[in-house]
Amino acid sequence: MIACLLIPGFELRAALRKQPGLGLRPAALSPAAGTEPLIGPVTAAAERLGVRPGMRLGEALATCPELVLVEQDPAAAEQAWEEILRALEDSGFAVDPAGVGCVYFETRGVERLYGGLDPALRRALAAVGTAWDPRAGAAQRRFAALAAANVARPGQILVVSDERLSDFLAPLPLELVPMEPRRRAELHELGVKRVGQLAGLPGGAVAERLGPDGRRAWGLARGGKNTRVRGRRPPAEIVEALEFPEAVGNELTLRRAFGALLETLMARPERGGRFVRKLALSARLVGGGSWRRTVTLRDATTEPDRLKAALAPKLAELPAPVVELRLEFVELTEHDGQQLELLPAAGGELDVRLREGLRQVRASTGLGSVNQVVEVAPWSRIPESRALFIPRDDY
Amino acid sequence: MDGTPVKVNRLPVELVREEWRVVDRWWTEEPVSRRYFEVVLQSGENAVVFRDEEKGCWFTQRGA
Repeated sequence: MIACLLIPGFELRAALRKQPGLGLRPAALSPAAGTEPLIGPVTAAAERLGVRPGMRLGEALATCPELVLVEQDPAAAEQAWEEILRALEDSGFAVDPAGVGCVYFETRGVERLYGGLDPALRRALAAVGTAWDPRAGAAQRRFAALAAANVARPGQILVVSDERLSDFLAPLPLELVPMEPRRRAELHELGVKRVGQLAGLPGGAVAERLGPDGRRAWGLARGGKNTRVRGRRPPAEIVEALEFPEAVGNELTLRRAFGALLETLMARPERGGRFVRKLALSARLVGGGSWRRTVTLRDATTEPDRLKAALAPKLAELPAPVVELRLEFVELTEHDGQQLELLPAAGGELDVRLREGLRQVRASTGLGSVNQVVEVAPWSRIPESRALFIPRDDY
Repeated sequence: MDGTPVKVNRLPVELVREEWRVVDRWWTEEPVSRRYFEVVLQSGENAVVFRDEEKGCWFTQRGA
């Protein structure tokens, strides 16, 4: 069986750990800077007063003027989630996380360990701890397990057999099925508000009207595919942090700090010569919030320049000055070689020589000397408006 | 006398193949008002030149 362990509103709960008193008041997770002004998870007190997750900020404040907005703390959420995943792994569960607050695992091995499905799921809930109000669902299919976990109350386990699956899913709200909001809105307009109503529609018609996203949602409404759950690879422990005596907002200074952290991490013996596949940069902001960006590289590498190029530009997205900067090698890998071509593509050698020539031009004449002509308005009657020179410093 | 070009970069104009006007962006602070000529020079070379009526001077159009 596949089990799903769910902690609804995890980011809000993680942010409220520092302000536990707010948990009993109407509060909501505020939108992240630079994103659409939609609130995140809300407390039970806020929900009783009519505030719903995903509401526009203005509407939420108009509905509940005493609503407290809790600033996002992604670093704290990520750290708390990692602690939960490790607690589960220490109890023998091979976890497959699906975002903060939701994790899947196969029950076959742990059923033998704990003497049955129910004891195993109880053990999982205990590993998470009651403070998080986790709930668990189990079924033969992944989506069904998620649906069961959503229906279960805090501390409850709900198991759904394949025979009961369609009857179980039918009355559930359509919001349970992951799909693009506008597709869901289209279905609502057509009067489809329950999972069973979507499942009852002809698949071809759904695909034609709603596209691949709708077709996928229809498949989930009918129970979803029988996919395996694979446990995650154990995370790396390699982290370095730099605390500033005063908050730093200057990007150049932060880039230098990032470079120093990277150099230190690369020299850590725990890396053991392994290649970096995924790395994360997080910051503690002045005022108490946090910020985090994660990058997964297509080709694992140990080249500092490539690692810097992947993550350093994200420093420009910081919303506030930083009191602590932290760099983490989240995933390391043994390099398994690079697949080369037996016969290079036609023109491949010319392309290589051209790029080398352009690099030499740039090296001798400086940045901005290699440009590409890009057509922007070929129909324009003014010839110089038809195309632009775009500097190409990446050749 | 009629405003057509006689020489382009010191090369005499042999033939005026085509003439057209571009009047654009008149609603902005940088209006465009040009009289274009496609000419054949004495050397046999084709060239496109225009007189910018706003600035009152001649330009060679590259890549037109």
